[in-house]
Amino acid sequence: MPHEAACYVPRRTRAPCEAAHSARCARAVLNPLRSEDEAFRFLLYAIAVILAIVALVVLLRAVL
Amino acid sequence: MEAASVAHLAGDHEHHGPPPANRSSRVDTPLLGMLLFIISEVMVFGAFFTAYFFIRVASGDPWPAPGTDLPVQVAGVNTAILVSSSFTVHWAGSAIKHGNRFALKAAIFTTFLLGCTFLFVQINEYANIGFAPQDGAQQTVFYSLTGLHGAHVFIGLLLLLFVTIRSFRGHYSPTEHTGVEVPGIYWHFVDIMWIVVYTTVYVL
Repeated sequence: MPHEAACYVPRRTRAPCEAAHSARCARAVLNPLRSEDEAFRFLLYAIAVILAIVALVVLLRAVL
Repeated sequence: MEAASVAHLAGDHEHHGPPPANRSSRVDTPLLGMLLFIISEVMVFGAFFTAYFFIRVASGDPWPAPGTDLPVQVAGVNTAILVSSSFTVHWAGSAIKHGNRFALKAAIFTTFLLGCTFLFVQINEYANIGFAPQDGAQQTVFYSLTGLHGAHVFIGLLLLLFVTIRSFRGHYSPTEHTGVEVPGIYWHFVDIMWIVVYTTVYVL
């Protein structure tokens, strides 16, 4: 899948160097629909966030 | 007649069929399709979660309903199985990108088996849980949410079966692996949805 079409960074803000732009774009947005790699990373982030929420809720239930 | 066909084969062809579709979006078409599909799926799950939260929070009904017991440990093991399957499908994608066909076959077949195990445990849970969807609102929304997810797992298993068959037939290569990539994205989505369902329905 070509990177150009998949990137959501507005065209007018793009750096002249395409390689630099690609790195910046990849840093800017984690798009789980762009590739399986990013979907997998999104899954790991989601697990981490949900574990944090569960821990917070359990802690609040114990305290309150 | 023969000259015409020779000219056609030589590349002297004219366009037949409908004109190419107008593309008003800068987003790549397959990506846009997947984006709209996932958004629609999130909205479907959102409707079911709305019903769940209404029953649990707005109406103030106890969860789970009195007299019912949810098998949290069994579902937890099932969650671990499904999360493991996401790791194996990621392994499959990485394997074909590096040209490792044996690892692709092993990983995708393992993913398929793990998915089948998840669905089998889910059906077994339904058979032994001790309540039916018509017993009350809580029971209905429990079966609706887990059943909706189970239907998505079933569709994912069909996709994985196609990928498994194709990989054993020698399809895919380091440059041509969209057929592994897209079911992988779908499988991760199904996995994330299950983690949300398990957390809200079973744990919290």
